[in-house]
Formats: sequence, structure tokens, C-alpha cells
Amino acid sequence: MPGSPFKQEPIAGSAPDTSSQYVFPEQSISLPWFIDPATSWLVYDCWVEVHLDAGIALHKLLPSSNPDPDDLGQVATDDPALDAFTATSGVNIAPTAPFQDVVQRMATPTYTFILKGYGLRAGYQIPIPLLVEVGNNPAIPGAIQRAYNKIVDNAPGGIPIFFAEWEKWYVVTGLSASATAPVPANPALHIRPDAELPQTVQLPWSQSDQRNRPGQSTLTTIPGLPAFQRRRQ
Amino acid sequence: MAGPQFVSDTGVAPLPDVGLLDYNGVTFSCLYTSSVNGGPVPDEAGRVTKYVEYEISVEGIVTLDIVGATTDALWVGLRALLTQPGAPLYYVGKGFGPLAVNVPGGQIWDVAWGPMPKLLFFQPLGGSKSALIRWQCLVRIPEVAASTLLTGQPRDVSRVLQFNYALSLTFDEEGYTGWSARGTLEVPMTRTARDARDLQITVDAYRSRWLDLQVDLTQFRVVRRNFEYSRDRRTIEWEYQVEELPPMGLPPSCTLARGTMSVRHRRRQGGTVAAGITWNCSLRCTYTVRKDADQRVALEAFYALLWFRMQSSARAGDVPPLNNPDNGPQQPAANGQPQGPPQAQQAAAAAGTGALPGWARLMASAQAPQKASAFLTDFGWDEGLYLDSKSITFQASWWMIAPFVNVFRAAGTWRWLDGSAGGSQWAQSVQDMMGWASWLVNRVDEKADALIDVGNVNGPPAGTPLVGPPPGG
Repeated sequence: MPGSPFKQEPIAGSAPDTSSQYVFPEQSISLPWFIDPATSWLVYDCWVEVHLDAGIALHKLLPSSNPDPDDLGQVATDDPALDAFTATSGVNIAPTAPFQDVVQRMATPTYTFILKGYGLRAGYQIPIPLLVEVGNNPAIPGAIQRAYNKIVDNAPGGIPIFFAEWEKWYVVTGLSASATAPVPANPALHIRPDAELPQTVQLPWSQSDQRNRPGQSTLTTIPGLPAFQRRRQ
Repeated sequence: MAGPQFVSDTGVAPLPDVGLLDYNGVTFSCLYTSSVNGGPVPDEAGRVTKYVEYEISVEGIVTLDIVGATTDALWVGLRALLTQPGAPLYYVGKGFGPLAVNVPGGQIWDVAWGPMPKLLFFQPLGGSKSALIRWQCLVRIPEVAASTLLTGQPRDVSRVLQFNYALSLTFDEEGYTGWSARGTLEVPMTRTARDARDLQITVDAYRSRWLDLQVDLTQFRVVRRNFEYSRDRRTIEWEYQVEELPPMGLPPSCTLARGTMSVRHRRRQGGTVAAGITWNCSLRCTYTVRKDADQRVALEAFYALLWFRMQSSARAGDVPPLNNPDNGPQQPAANGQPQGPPQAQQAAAAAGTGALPGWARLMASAQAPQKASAFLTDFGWDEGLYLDSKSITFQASWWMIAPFVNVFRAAGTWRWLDGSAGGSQWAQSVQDMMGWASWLVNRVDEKADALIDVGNVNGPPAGTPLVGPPPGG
């Protein structure tokens, strides 16, 4: 049988409507981004490490004989009896010399506060934080301070993504017994350490679906359409 | 002394026939008996009679014609003529009422390519000088008033023999409705003339009028339509399968769309505790756009959803500021208490087959971007190619800042741009292709079919296409 059992149809039957080829509905539509500085934080990690130097001076006596040096080991590595060896303490801390050191302690210890952290932010540079005070005592910038900001990405729309990192040493003297170690607030998590704790956690609010709009019935149909009807010309 | 002789096509007889029995130009002599056996044939539903079927049985004697010495030559001709279907039949003057079928200019035409003759029995008698034959002919005709006769005119598309269907209703485990209708449409067809080989029309000509089922497309979608044509082109066994749409429905001009939006807490790298105010939102959708529409309708549908969901974060309520002089709770329950719907009002999308201007009006009339707390972090797509070019998948991800209490509202869960999915907008955009045809109509070409009638001694009329090879060729 030559040809097709079905009539050949005009191309338009399967071709798209080309009348809209120069229309771009997305021309006036744009997507939001974190243009508000308060919500532009992507990542933020900042903490304060506290180092305590107890102010200890350790005085050593010179030897008057030649005792064996101390060794933490108990048995030679190639000792054939290694596997059966037993000892009260696996680490040998029994000194061989019968002398005692003299320990001298300073009147005050030294507290060093190291402000460290990093952050990632869209559109805006990350301000490097600084430690102002600890327990009403001024934080004195120490010898070491390192920090930088750099661009690490280009988000859609031409938005620079900044990355920053810092390490800053501070010395604080005269701390009182009531002083507390500082915990920085976190702008990316939008939380501060001294916030009041909630008694309970509210469940997320729900919302009705798109069909349930005020003034409209939940389900709409084409007016006048019966549920099933043969359509005749 | 020889009596009077009455010559007929079945030989010479001493008496004339009472009435007339003639088929395909073969007039029987009086030397026969006949009977008619038949009855109404109900339609598939068993409710009405679609036609009446009569079987005319003839037992008679074929005698010598006026020139032959045996019945051989006469019978060769009779065999060919009496076995040819669709020829004119006269059975009148028998007390049965006039039965003239497929007679040119007549009113009664067989409805199923008949009359259909059968030659059952031949017994020579008297040394081939006569023969006993039994011949039957089946006719199917409408027994209706003259004014409503199915004339069998080729282009009379207003009359059918039967239209009925079975219905099946299903409620699935999710409570959704599905139904299907399977039915039969049958129309009368016969030859326009004894020697005609072509088809003037097929049952497909009735498809647009009789099989254009109207389904409420605001509630349902048509998932399958099947039309099976019989070999004689008189009958369509048809089927519609319909499924209830889910709440969101489909975007305008899309025949299929599936997708997922996931919202998850952002977690610190290697962390186990979720960050209670920052969320990862991910949207992934696959679209199939009707072929005669601009395929970028899929992109517009995705844009509409992406834009709406990202804008919804503006309804998240105030992001907790660090400047909290009372050191109060950072995420109080009263923060972002449910507000009214956004003020964005959208015009209805244009009807039609994927006209982009409709999308332009839909999105351009929306409210100008609000102060939203969303940041696009990923965008991509997978385009089907070649045989997979029916569909395309888009994906996008964004970070969203929203207090826990407002996360559903900020993510736009269960919400979408008015007019961008489901409802009358989708229904109107696909209504023209959800009935008897899709964007391709696929009309059966009656000229691509023909009656390969090797049993017709007369051959096809001049100019008849597709008559096939001659017998034995």
C-alpha cells in the first residue's frame, strides 16, 4: 500500500507558534538576593581562644654525679621478652636522680585572648571584628594581628562573594573573679550569646494552599461545563 | 410440442417468475424456491437495533440457455456474478415487501458492504444439462421510516448505526478519581456502485463530531485516547482514560510536569546541629510542553515558580537583629505572625497554545520584587535531546533566611503564582487538544485505501486509484 493511511497535515500542525519569538516575558522580572546587609551573611565563624600562662619559673640543680638519664620507656623494642612483659605503669616516670627542682611562681598569671575566625558574605566586605574589653578590663592588642578580605566568587547578577579570615592577640590584665570569657555574636546565624532562652519552640506557621483564596471556592470549574458530555458541532 | 419458453439468466423455464429475484444482473427463472431468514441485530449495548440482517436462501434449477448444450458456459458466468458482493439485489413481489438493495437511485443500501452472497451448493443434473444450486445472500439494512433512511450517501455524516460506551470509575488508594470510557462508533458504508473500488468516506469523518468528549480539565486530565479502526473502516473502537489532577495541576500549555521542592536546614560543615534560621531550598521540575507551542514555555513556568517561591521569603517576618537591647528571645513566636497574602496580584495567563505574551502579562503584572531574604546559589538544566526532546528539567537552589516559625510561609509551600498552574488557565490552554485530536489530527485518508476486489469480473472504473494487481499478478 503506497503512502500513509493518515492524511498528511500542514507543518503548522506540529510547529510552534512563532508569533511570540520576539517576546521576552522575563524582561521585567528579577530574582531577589541578600541586598539587605543584615541578611547578606552566608557563613560566619568567630571565637575567642583564651591562653593562660600561669607565670611559673622552674629552677634546675646542676648534677654532682653522672646518673643514668631518665627514660619513659620500660623495655627495649627488640627484647625477646617484650610480649610477656608486664609493669604496673606502662610509662616509666620513676626518676633516676634523687634531686628536686625548685618551682617559683609569679604573683600573677598572664591571660591572652586570641580572636580568631572567618566569614563569607555576599555583596559586602566582612568587617574584621575586634575585642574591646573582657570583664570591664580593656583588651590590649598584642604583638600578632593578621586579617584579610578577598573575593572568592562571582554570584549570578555580578555579586562579589567576600571571604575574610583573622587572628588577633590581646592581653588583658586585672581580671576579676566575675569576668567571663567573651563569645562573639554571629550575624550569619542571627544569634547572640546573651539572648533569652525560649521556654518552648513554636511550631512553624502553616498556610492554606493556593486554591483556597479569599472570595473564591476551593475548586473551580469552567462555568457551564457538565462533567462528561459528548461535544457535537 | 414444446410449450412457451421464458428465457432468464439461469436458463430457460416454462413459466415466468412471480415477482423478481435478481442479483448483480442475474435474473432467476421461476425454477426456484426461496426463503428469508433474519432478525434485528442489536448494538453493543443491547439496547437498540442497529440494523436488520436478512439471509435470502434460494434453491433452484439452472437450465440450459437457448444456445448451450451444457450448463458450463452459462454457469461460469453465473458463478462470477452471483459471488460478487455489493451488487444490486431485487427481491420483490414475493409477499415479503419490496426488497431492493443497493439499487442505483434507490433508497435502501446495505450498511455493511453488502449484499454478501454465498454459493453453497451445486449439483449437476442430467449430464450437465442442468444443475441444482443453493445460493444465499446476506443483506444488512436499516428498517426505518423512509424519511430517516440511511441512504448510504458517501458524505452523509449525520447518521450512525451505533454509538455506545462502557464506563469504568476508579478511586485509587489516595482517593483520586480515574475513569475510562470505551465505546463503539459504527457507521453505514457500502459501495457507491457495483464496480466501485474506492472509499468516499470512512468512519473517521465522524470522529470530530461524535468522539470529541468534553472533560472538565480544571479537575481532570486526559491521559490516553485510543481509536482503533476496523478493517472495513466502518467502526471505531475508542477509549478515553482520564485521571484527576492533583491540587497544583499543570502549567499552561504543558501536557506533563513533575517536580520537587525541598527545604532543609543549612548545617555547618561537619556539624550535627541545624542552623535554625538559614535554609537550603532546592527546586527541580521537569516539563513537557505541547509540541505546537514554543518550548520555552517550560522555562517561563519554572521562572514563575522560582520567582514566587524566592519572593515568598519576604513574608518570613523580620530576621532577628543582633541589636536586641532587651536581650529578649531571638526568635519569638510573635515574630512574623501570619500576615495576609502578599499584595502581588497577577493577571490571568492568556489562553491559547503557549502564547508567550500570556506569560509576559502574568509575570509583568506581578508586584515588584519585595525585600526578600533569598539568595540564588545554583541554577541549571538538563535538556532532553533527540527522542528525549519532549522534556526538559530545570533546577535551582537558594539560601533562605527565615525564622523557624515562618519557614513554611517563607518557602511558599502549597502556593504558586496565580494563573501559572492548574485551574481554568491550564484547561483553556490545552482544551483544543484533549478531545478527538491532538495538535496533529491524523485524519484517515480514504484515498489511501481501496477495495482489492479480485472477484469483480468487470474490473475497476477508469481512474480508480489503488486497485492493486490484476488477479494472479
